[in-house]
Amino acid sequence: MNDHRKKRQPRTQRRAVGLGTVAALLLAIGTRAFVASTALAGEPTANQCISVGVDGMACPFCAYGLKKHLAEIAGVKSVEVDLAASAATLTVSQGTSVTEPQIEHAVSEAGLGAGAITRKSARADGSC
Amino acid sequence: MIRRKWQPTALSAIVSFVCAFCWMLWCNEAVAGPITFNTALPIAQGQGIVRGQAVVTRATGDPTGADRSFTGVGAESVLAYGATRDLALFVLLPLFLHKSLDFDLPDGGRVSRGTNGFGDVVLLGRYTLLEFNWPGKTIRVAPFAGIKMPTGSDSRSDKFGTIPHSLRPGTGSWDPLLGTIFSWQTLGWEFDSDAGYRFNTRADGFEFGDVAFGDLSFQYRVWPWRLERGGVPAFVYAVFESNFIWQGKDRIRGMVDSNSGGFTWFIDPGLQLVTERYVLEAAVRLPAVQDLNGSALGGDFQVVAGFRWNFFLPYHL
Repeated sequence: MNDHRKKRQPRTQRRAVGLGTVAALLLAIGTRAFVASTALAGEPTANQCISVGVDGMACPFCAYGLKKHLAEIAGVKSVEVDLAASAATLTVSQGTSVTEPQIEHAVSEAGLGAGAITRKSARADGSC
Repeated sequence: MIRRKWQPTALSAIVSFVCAFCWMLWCNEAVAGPITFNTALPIAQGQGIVRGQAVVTRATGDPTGADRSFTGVGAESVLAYGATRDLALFVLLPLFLHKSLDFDLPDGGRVSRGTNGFGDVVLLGRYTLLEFNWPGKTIRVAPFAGIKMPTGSDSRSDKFGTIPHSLRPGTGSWDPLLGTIFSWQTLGWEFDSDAGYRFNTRADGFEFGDVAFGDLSFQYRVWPWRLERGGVPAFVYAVFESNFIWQGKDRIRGMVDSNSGGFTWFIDPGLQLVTERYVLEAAVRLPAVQDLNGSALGGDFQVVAGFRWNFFLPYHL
Protein backbone atom coordinates (compact mmCIF):
# COMPACT_ATOMS: atom_id res chain seq x y z
CA MET A 1 0.00 0.00 0.00
CA ASN A 2 2.80 2.39 0.94
CA ASP A 3 4.56 1.70 -2.33
CA HIS A 4 1.35 2.40 -4.17
CA ARG A 5 0.88 5.81 -2.39
CA LYS A 6 4.53 6.66 -3.12
CA LYS A 7 3.91 6.01 -6.81
CA ARG A 8 0.75 8.24 -6.92
CA GLN A 9 2.24 11.24 -5.07
CA PRO A 10 4.60 12.28 -7.84
CA ARG A 11 1.76 12.07 -10.37
CA THR A 12 -0.40 14.46 -8.27
CA GLN A 13 2.52 16.76 -7.83
CA ARG A 14 3.19 16.76 -11.54
CA ARG A 15 -0.48 17.57 -12.21
CA ALA A 16 -0.37 20.43 -9.72
CA VAL A 17 2.82 21.72 -11.28
CA GLY A 18 1.23 21.51 -14.72
CA LEU A 19 -1.91 23.33 -13.66
CA GLY A 20 0.18 25.95 -11.91
CA THR A 21 2.24 26.47 -15.04
CA VAL A 22 -0.83 26.87 -17.26
CA ALA A 23 -2.35 29.30 -14.77
CA ALA A 24 0.87 31.27 -14.63
CA LEU A 25 1.02 31.39 -18.43
CA LEU A 26 -2.59 32.54 -18.69
CA LEU A 27 -1.98 35.15 -16.03
CA ALA A 28 1.12 36.34 -17.82
CA ILE A 29 -0.62 36.51 -21.19
CA GLY A 30 -3.61 38.28 -19.65
CA THR A 31 -1.38 40.76 -17.90
CA ARG A 32 0.57 41.47 -21.06
CA ALA A 33 -2.65 41.90 -23.02
CA PHE A 34 -4.01 44.25 -20.39
CA VAL A 35 -0.80 46.25 -20.34
CA ALA A 36 -0.71 46.32 -24.13
CA SER A 37 -4.31 47.50 -24.41
CA THR A 38 -3.73 50.14 -21.79
CA ALA A 39 -0.69 51.32 -23.68
CA LEU A 40 -2.65 51.40 -27.00
CA ALA A 41 -5.33 53.58 -25.50
CA GLY A 42 -2.82 56.24 -24.81
CA GLU A 43 -1.10 56.09 -28.19
CA PRO A 44 -2.21 57.67 -31.49
CA THR A 45 -4.73 55.41 -33.24
CA ALA A 46 -4.74 54.34 -36.87
CA ASN A 47 -7.40 56.84 -37.90
CA GLN A 48 -8.23 60.47 -37.36
CA CYS A 49 -11.64 62.12 -37.53
CA ILE A 50 -12.51 65.34 -39.27
CA SER A 51 -15.85 66.96 -38.64
CA VAL A 52 -17.15 69.59 -41.04
CA GLY A 53 -20.23 71.77 -40.63
CA VAL A 54 -22.38 71.90 -43.77
CA ASP A 55 -24.59 74.85 -44.67
CA GLY A 56 -27.55 74.51 -47.00
CA MET A 57 -28.20 70.78 -46.54
CA ALA A 58 -31.89 70.60 -45.72
CA CYS A 59 -33.22 67.29 -47.01
CA PRO A 60 -32.16 63.62 -47.18
CA PHE A 61 -31.92 63.70 -50.98
CA CYS A 62 -29.32 66.48 -50.81
CA ALA A 63 -26.99 64.48 -48.54
CA TYR A 64 -26.04 61.91 -51.17
CA GLY A 65 -23.98 64.23 -53.38
CA LEU A 66 -22.14 65.58 -50.35
CA LYS A 67 -21.26 62.10 -49.14
CA LYS A 68 -19.93 61.09 -52.56
CA HIS A 69 -17.79 64.20 -53.02
CA LEU A 70 -16.25 63.93 -49.56
CA ALA A 71 -15.52 60.24 -50.12
CA GLU A 72 -13.58 61.12 -53.27
CA ILE A 73 -10.88 62.90 -51.26
CA ALA A 74 -7.73 60.76 -51.15
CA GLY A 75 -7.26 59.15 -47.74
CA VAL A 76 -10.89 59.38 -46.66
CA LYS A 77 -11.98 55.93 -45.53
CA SER A 78 -15.61 56.68 -44.75
CA VAL A 79 -18.08 59.54 -44.49
CA GLU A 80 -21.00 59.83 -42.11
CA VAL A 81 -23.57 62.59 -42.58
CA ASP A 82 -25.66 63.86 -39.68
CA LEU A 83 -28.56 65.71 -41.23
CA ALA A 84 -29.98 67.07 -37.98
CA ALA A 85 -26.58 68.40 -36.91
CA SER A 86 -25.85 69.77 -40.40
CA ALA A 87 -22.45 68.11 -40.30
CA ALA A 88 -20.37 65.38 -41.89
CA THR A 89 -17.65 63.31 -40.24
CA LEU A 90 -14.75 61.94 -42.24
CA THR A 91 -12.69 58.99 -41.08
CA VAL A 92 -9.19 59.53 -42.44
CA SER A 93 -6.24 57.14 -42.46
CA GLN A 94 -3.42 58.16 -40.11
CA GLY A 95 -0.57 59.68 -42.03
CA THR A 96 -2.82 60.93 -44.81
CA SER A 97 -3.01 64.65 -45.24
CA VAL A 98 -6.53 65.93 -45.86
CA THR A 99 -6.49 69.69 -45.98
CA GLU A 100 -9.25 72.18 -45.24
CA PRO A 101 -9.31 73.54 -48.83
CA GLN A 102 -9.83 69.97 -50.06
CA ILE A 103 -12.82 69.56 -47.77
CA GLU A 104 -14.25 72.98 -48.61
CA HIS A 105 -13.89 72.25 -52.33
CA ALA A 106 -15.69 68.92 -52.00
CA VAL A 107 -18.56 70.50 -50.05
CA SER A 108 -18.79 73.26 -52.65
CA GLU A 109 -18.94 70.76 -55.51
CA ALA A 110 -21.94 69.25 -53.77
CA GLY A 111 -23.63 72.63 -54.11
CA LEU A 112 -23.37 73.35 -50.38
CA GLY A 113 -21.30 75.54 -48.07
CA ALA A 114 -18.59 74.38 -45.67
CA GLY A 115 -18.71 75.53 -42.05
CA ALA A 116 -16.32 74.91 -39.18
CA ILE A 117 -13.79 72.09 -39.59
CA THR A 118 -12.49 70.30 -36.48
CA ARG A 119 -10.10 67.38 -36.06
CA LYS A 120 -9.79 64.74 -33.37
CA SER A 121 -8.34 61.28 -32.90
CA ALA A 122 -10.47 58.24 -33.54
CA ARG A 123 -11.63 55.90 -30.78
CA ALA A 124 -9.66 52.79 -29.87
CA ASP A 125 -11.66 50.76 -32.36
CA GLY A 126 -10.81 53.24 -35.12
CA SER A 127 -14.29 54.73 -35.39
CA CYS A 128 -15.27 58.37 -35.02
CA MET B 1 -68.61 66.60 -93.27
CA ILE B 2 -68.11 64.99 -89.92
CA ARG B 3 -64.71 66.57 -89.52
CA ARG B 4 -65.94 69.97 -90.52
CA LYS B 5 -68.69 69.82 -87.92
CA TRP B 6 -66.40 68.45 -85.28
CA GLN B 7 -63.25 70.47 -85.82
CA PRO B 8 -64.44 73.95 -84.87
CA THR B 9 -65.47 72.69 -81.47
CA ALA B 10 -63.37 69.71 -80.50
CA LEU B 11 -60.08 70.65 -82.09
CA SER B 12 -60.02 74.10 -80.65
CA ALA B 13 -61.85 73.32 -77.45
CA ILE B 14 -59.42 70.78 -76.07
CA VAL B 15 -56.32 72.65 -77.09
CA SER B 16 -55.89 74.66 -73.94
CA PHE B 17 -56.41 71.70 -71.69
CA VAL B 18 -54.20 69.32 -73.63
CA CYS B 19 -51.47 71.90 -73.91
CA ALA B 20 -51.61 72.51 -70.21
CA PHE B 21 -51.31 68.76 -69.73
CA CYS B 22 -48.32 68.60 -72.04
CA TRP B 23 -46.74 71.58 -70.36
CA MET B 24 -47.01 69.88 -67.00
CA LEU B 25 -45.10 66.96 -68.44
CA TRP B 26 -42.46 69.15 -69.99
CA CYS B 27 -41.72 71.41 -67.06
CA ASN B 28 -41.15 68.83 -64.36
CA GLU B 29 -37.64 68.54 -63.05
CA ALA B 30 -35.98 65.84 -61.07
CA VAL B 31 -34.67 67.38 -57.90
CA ALA B 32 -36.35 66.67 -54.59
CA GLY B 33 -38.92 69.35 -53.98
CA PRO B 34 -42.25 69.98 -55.64
CA ILE B 35 -44.06 67.15 -57.36
CA THR B 36 -45.52 69.09 -60.26
CA PHE B 37 -42.88 71.69 -61.13
CA ASN B 38 -39.29 72.85 -60.81
CA THR B 39 -37.14 73.46 -57.79
CA ALA B 40 -33.92 75.36 -57.28
CA LEU B 41 -32.40 72.80 -54.93
CA PRO B 42 -28.81 71.69 -55.58
CA ILE B 43 -27.73 68.88 -57.85
CA ALA B 44 -24.13 68.10 -56.93
CA GLN B 45 -21.50 68.25 -59.64
CA GLY B 46 -21.33 64.81 -61.22
CA GLN B 47 -24.61 63.75 -59.68
CA GLY B 48 -27.30 62.23 -61.85
CA ILE B 49 -30.96 61.86 -61.12
CA VAL B 50 -33.44 59.71 -62.99
CA ARG B 51 -37.08 60.48 -62.62
CA GLY B 52 -40.10 58.56 -63.82
CA GLN B 53 -43.58 59.90 -63.45
CA ALA B 54 -46.96 58.57 -64.52
CA VAL B 55 -49.69 61.09 -65.28
CA VAL B 56 -53.36 60.28 -65.76
CA THR B 57 -55.66 63.05 -66.93
CA ARG B 58 -59.40 63.12 -67.31
CA ALA B 59 -61.50 65.96 -68.69
CA THR B 60 -65.26 65.93 -69.17
CA GLY B 61 -68.01 68.47 -68.54
CA ASP B 62 -68.42 69.48 -72.15
CA PRO B 63 -70.35 72.77 -72.49
CA THR B 64 -71.45 71.74 -75.98
CA GLY B 65 -73.85 68.93 -76.79
CA ALA B 66 -71.13 66.63 -78.10
CA ASP B 67 -70.41 65.11 -74.64
CA ARG B 68 -66.68 65.28 -75.27
CA SER B 69 -64.30 63.59 -72.86
CA PHE B 70 -60.53 63.61 -72.91
CA THR B 71 -58.39 60.86 -71.41
CA GLY B 72 -54.62 61.08 -71.19
CA VAL B 73 -52.24 58.48 -69.80
CA GLY B 74 -48.64 59.51 -69.98
CA ALA B 75 -45.24 58.77 -68.55
CA GLU B 76 -42.36 61.14 -68.31
CA SER B 77 -38.69 60.26 -68.08
CA VAL B 78 -36.23 62.87 -66.88
CA LEU B 79 -32.47 62.65 -66.73
CA ALA B 80 -30.81 65.40 -64.71
CA TYR B 81 -27.08 65.96 -64.46
CA GLY B 82 -25.03 68.36 -62.38
CA ALA B 83 -22.56 69.72 -64.95
CA THR B 84 -21.04 72.10 -62.40
CA ARG B 85 -22.00 73.02 -58.85
CA ASP B 86 -24.35 75.70 -60.24
CA LEU B 87 -25.35 74.43 -63.66
CA ALA B 88 -27.75 71.52 -63.97
CA LEU B 89 -28.85 70.05 -67.30
CA PHE B 90 -32.10 68.24 -67.89
CA VAL B 91 -33.44 66.04 -70.67
CA LEU B 92 -37.17 65.45 -70.52
CA LEU B 93 -38.90 62.84 -72.63
CA PRO B 94 -42.69 62.49 -72.41
CA LEU B 95 -44.38 59.31 -73.52
CA PHE B 96 -48.07 59.39 -74.29
CA LEU B 97 -49.40 55.90 -73.77
CA HIS B 98 -52.93 56.95 -74.50
CA LYS B 99 -54.26 60.32 -75.55
CA SER B 100 -57.80 60.31 -76.82
CA LEU B 101 -60.92 62.38 -77.26
CA ASP B 102 -64.36 60.75 -77.30
CA PHE B 103 -67.41 62.61 -78.56
CA ASP B 104 -70.92 62.10 -79.89
CA LEU B 105 -71.71 62.46 -83.55
CA PRO B 106 -74.77 64.39 -84.69
CA ASP B 107 -76.32 61.14 -85.93
CA GLY B 108 -76.09 59.52 -82.51
CA GLY B 109 -72.90 57.49 -82.83
CA ARG B 110 -69.87 57.94 -80.56
CA VAL B 111 -66.34 58.33 -81.87
CA SER B 112 -62.95 58.04 -80.23
CA ARG B 113 -59.92 59.70 -81.77
CA GLY B 114 -56.48 59.49 -80.31
CA THR B 115 -52.82 58.71 -80.58
CA ASN B 116 -49.86 57.53 -78.57
CA GLY B 117 -46.10 57.67 -78.79
CA PHE B 118 -43.14 59.70 -77.64
CA GLY B 119 -43.65 63.41 -77.34
CA ASP B 120 -41.28 66.29 -77.88
CA VAL B 121 -37.97 66.20 -76.03
CA VAL B 122 -37.17 69.22 -73.89
CA LEU B 123 -33.61 70.29 -73.12
CA LEU B 124 -33.32 72.53 -70.10
CA GLY B 125 -30.49 74.28 -68.30
CA ARG B 126 -30.79 75.70 -64.80
CA TYR B 127 -28.22 77.99 -63.24
CA THR B 128 -28.11 78.81 -59.53
CA LEU B 129 -27.71 82.57 -59.56
CA LEU B 130 -28.17 83.33 -55.87
CA GLU B 131 -27.82 81.12 -52.83
CA PHE B 132 -27.86 81.77 -49.12
CA ASN B 133 -26.91 78.82 -46.94
CA TRP B 134 -27.19 78.23 -43.21
CA PRO B 135 -27.06 75.05 -41.17
CA GLY B 136 -30.20 73.12 -42.08
CA LYS B 137 -31.62 75.73 -44.43
CA THR B 138 -31.05 77.27 -47.84
CA ILE B 139 -32.56 79.94 -50.07
CA ARG B 140 -31.86 79.77 -53.79
CA VAL B 141 -32.81 81.57 -56.96
CA ALA B 142 -32.17 79.78 -60.23
CA PRO B 143 -33.20 80.98 -63.69
CA PHE B 144 -33.72 78.32 -66.32
CA ALA B 145 -33.96 78.27 -70.08
CA GLY B 146 -34.54 75.55 -72.58
CA ILE B 147 -36.08 74.48 -75.81
CA LYS B 148 -38.73 71.99 -76.78
CA MET B 149 -37.62 70.12 -79.87
CA PRO B 150 -39.99 68.64 -82.47
CA THR B 151 -39.03 65.01 -81.87
CA GLY B 152 -42.55 63.66 -81.39
CA SER B 153 -44.75 62.65 -84.28
CA ASP B 154 -46.89 65.54 -85.51
CA SER B 155 -48.52 63.94 -88.52
CA ARG B 156 -50.96 61.27 -87.47
CA SER B 157 -54.25 60.30 -89.06
CA ASP B 158 -57.11 57.90 -88.50
CA LYS B 159 -60.18 56.86 -90.48
CA PHE B 160 -61.65 60.33 -90.01
CA GLY B 161 -58.59 62.03 -91.44
CA THR B 162 -55.74 63.96 -89.91
CA ILE B 163 -55.58 63.86 -86.12
CA PRO B 164 -56.07 67.34 -84.60
CA HIS B 165 -52.84 69.04 -83.56
CA SER B 166 -53.67 68.95 -79.88
CA LEU B 167 -54.02 65.17 -79.87
CA ARG B 168 -50.72 64.46 -81.60
CA PRO B 169 -47.73 63.36 -79.50
CA GLY B 170 -45.54 66.11 -80.97
CA THR B 171 -46.11 69.68 -82.03
CA GLY B 172 -43.61 69.94 -84.87
CA SER B 173 -42.32 73.25 -83.59
CA TRP B 174 -39.19 74.49 -81.82
CA ASP B 175 -40.41 76.29 -78.72
CA PRO B 176 -38.02 78.18 -76.43
CA LEU B 177 -38.92 78.62 -72.79
CA LEU B 178 -37.45 80.50 -69.88
CA GLY B 179 -38.25 81.27 -66.29
CA THR B 180 -36.91 81.44 -62.80
CA ILE B 181 -37.29 79.43 -59.62
CA PHE B 182 -37.19 80.45 -55.99
CA SER B 183 -36.68 77.79 -53.28
CA TRP B 184 -36.54 78.18 -49.52
CA GLN B 185 -35.90 74.95 -47.69
CA THR B 186 -35.41 74.08 -44.05
CA LEU B 187 -35.25 70.72 -42.32
CA GLY B 188 -38.89 71.10 -41.28
CA TRP B 189 -40.50 72.56 -44.40
CA GLU B 190 -39.87 73.73 -47.92
CA PHE B 191 -41.34 76.45 -50.08
CA ASP B 192 -40.82 76.61 -53.83
CA SER B 193 -42.18 78.86 -56.50
CA ASP B 194 -41.51 79.44 -60.15
CA ALA B 195 -42.68 81.58 -63.03
CA GLY B 196 -41.96 81.22 -66.69
CA TYR B 197 -43.02 81.62 -70.27
CA ARG B 198 -42.92 79.39 -73.31
CA PHE B 199 -42.89 80.94 -76.76
CA ASN B 200 -44.72 78.55 -79.05
CA THR B 201 -43.77 78.83 -82.68
CA ARG B 202 -45.53 77.85 -85.88
CA ALA B 203 -45.25 74.50 -87.60
CA ASP B 204 -47.18 73.50 -90.71
CA GLY B 205 -49.40 76.56 -90.49
CA PHE B 206 -50.46 75.87 -86.91
CA GLU B 207 -49.25 77.74 -83.85
CA PHE B 208 -50.24 76.90 -80.29
CA GLY B 209 -50.79 79.90 -78.06
CA ASP B 210 -47.88 80.91 -75.84
CA VAL B 211 -47.93 79.63 -72.27
CA ALA B 212 -47.28 81.64 -69.11
CA PHE B 213 -47.15 79.77 -65.84
CA GLY B 214 -46.61 80.26 -62.14
CA ASP B 215 -46.41 77.60 -59.43
CA LEU B 216 -46.30 77.47 -55.64
CA SER B 217 -45.44 74.53 -53.41
CA PHE B 218 -45.35 74.06 -49.67
CA GLN B 219 -44.03 70.84 -48.17
CA TYR B 220 -44.20 70.11 -44.47
CA ARG B 221 -42.30 67.27 -42.80
CA VAL B 222 -44.81 65.06 -41.02
CA TRP B 223 -42.45 62.18 -40.24
CA PRO B 224 -40.22 61.95 -38.29
CA TRP B 225 -42.04 64.50 -36.18
CA ARG B 226 -38.88 65.18 -34.14
CA LEU B 227 -35.59 65.07 -35.94
CA GLU B 228 -32.99 63.20 -33.89
CA ARG B 229 -29.26 63.55 -34.37
CA GLY B 230 -27.34 60.93 -36.27
CA GLY B 231 -27.49 59.74 -39.86
CA VAL B 232 -29.80 60.67 -42.69
CA PRO B 233 -33.36 59.58 -41.87
CA ALA B 234 -36.12 59.34 -44.46
CA PHE B 235 -38.65 62.17 -44.48
CA VAL B 236 -42.35 62.09 -45.28
CA TYR B 237 -43.71 65.42 -46.49
CA ALA B 238 -47.32 66.51 -46.75
CA VAL B 239 -47.39 68.53 -49.95
CA PHE B 240 -49.70 71.28 -51.12
CA GLU B 241 -49.09 72.78 -54.53
CA SER B 242 -50.82 75.26 -56.74
CA ASN B 243 -50.35 75.89 -60.47
CA PHE B 244 -51.45 78.84 -62.56
CA ILE B 245 -51.43 78.36 -66.31
CA TRP B 246 -52.43 80.90 -68.90
CA GLN B 247 -52.38 80.05 -72.56
CA GLY B 248 -52.91 82.36 -75.50
CA LYS B 249 -55.15 81.57 -78.41
CA ASP B 250 -53.95 79.31 -81.18
CA ARG B 251 -53.48 80.42 -84.73
CA ILE B 252 -54.50 78.25 -87.66
CA ARG B 253 -52.92 79.56 -90.86
CA GLY B 254 -52.74 83.00 -89.31
CA MET B 255 -56.35 83.02 -88.07
CA VAL B 256 -56.99 83.26 -84.33
CA ASP B 257 -58.95 80.37 -82.88
CA SER B 258 -61.35 81.91 -80.38
CA ASN B 259 -62.14 78.55 -78.81
CA SER B 260 -58.62 77.98 -77.55
CA GLY B 261 -56.50 79.17 -74.65
CA GLY B 262 -57.56 80.51 -71.31
CA PHE B 263 -56.63 80.42 -67.65
CA THR B 264 -56.53 77.46 -65.27
CA TRP B 265 -55.65 77.33 -61.60
CA PHE B 266 -54.93 73.91 -60.11
CA ILE B 267 -54.56 72.93 -56.47
CA ASP B 268 -52.60 69.74 -55.78
CA PRO B 269 -52.54 67.93 -52.44
CA GLY B 270 -49.87 65.24 -52.33
CA LEU B 271 -47.50 63.09 -50.32
CA GLN B 272 -43.79 62.54 -50.69
CA LEU B 273 -41.31 60.04 -49.21
CA VAL B 274 -37.75 61.34 -49.47
CA THR B 275 -34.72 59.20 -48.65
CA GLU B 276 -31.05 59.67 -49.42
CA ARG B 277 -31.23 57.64 -52.62
CA TYR B 278 -34.80 57.83 -53.84
CA VAL B 279 -38.05 59.74 -53.69
CA LEU B 280 -41.57 58.33 -54.01
CA GLU B 281 -44.35 60.82 -54.58
CA ALA B 282 -47.96 61.23 -55.62
CA ALA B 283 -50.34 64.14 -56.01
CA VAL B 284 -53.80 64.84 -57.35
CA ARG B 285 -54.30 67.98 -59.41
CA LEU B 286 -57.73 69.49 -59.09
CA PRO B 287 -58.86 72.49 -61.12
CA ALA B 288 -59.95 75.30 -58.79
CA VAL B 289 -60.61 77.88 -61.51
CA GLN B 290 -61.01 77.30 -65.23
CA ASP B 291 -61.62 80.35 -67.32
CA LEU B 292 -61.24 78.92 -70.77
CA ASN B 293 -62.05 80.66 -74.01
CA GLY B 294 -65.09 79.70 -76.03
CA SER B 295 -66.18 76.08 -75.74
CA ALA B 296 -62.85 74.72 -74.50
CA LEU B 297 -63.09 71.53 -72.49
CA GLY B 298 -62.24 71.89 -68.80
CA GLY B 299 -60.30 69.33 -66.79
CA ASP B 300 -61.69 67.08 -64.05
CA PHE B 301 -58.56 65.85 -62.35
CA GLN B 302 -55.02 64.68 -62.91
CA VAL B 303 -53.13 62.05 -60.93
CA VAL B 304 -49.35 62.28 -60.80
CA ALA B 305 -47.23 59.51 -59.26
CA GLY B 306 -43.56 58.78 -59.64
CA PHE B 307 -40.11 58.15 -58.32
CA ARG B 308 -36.65 59.71 -58.46
CA TRP B 309 -33.37 57.90 -58.07
CA ASN B 310 -30.01 59.37 -57.23
CA PHE B 311 -26.71 58.17 -58.70
CA PHE B 312 -23.20 59.50 -58.98
CA LEU B 313 -20.86 59.41 -61.93
CA PRO B 314 -17.29 58.63 -60.85
CA TYR B 315 -15.84 60.67 -63.69
CA HIS B 316 -17.25 64.14 -64.02
CA LEU B 317 -16.30 67.64 -65.08
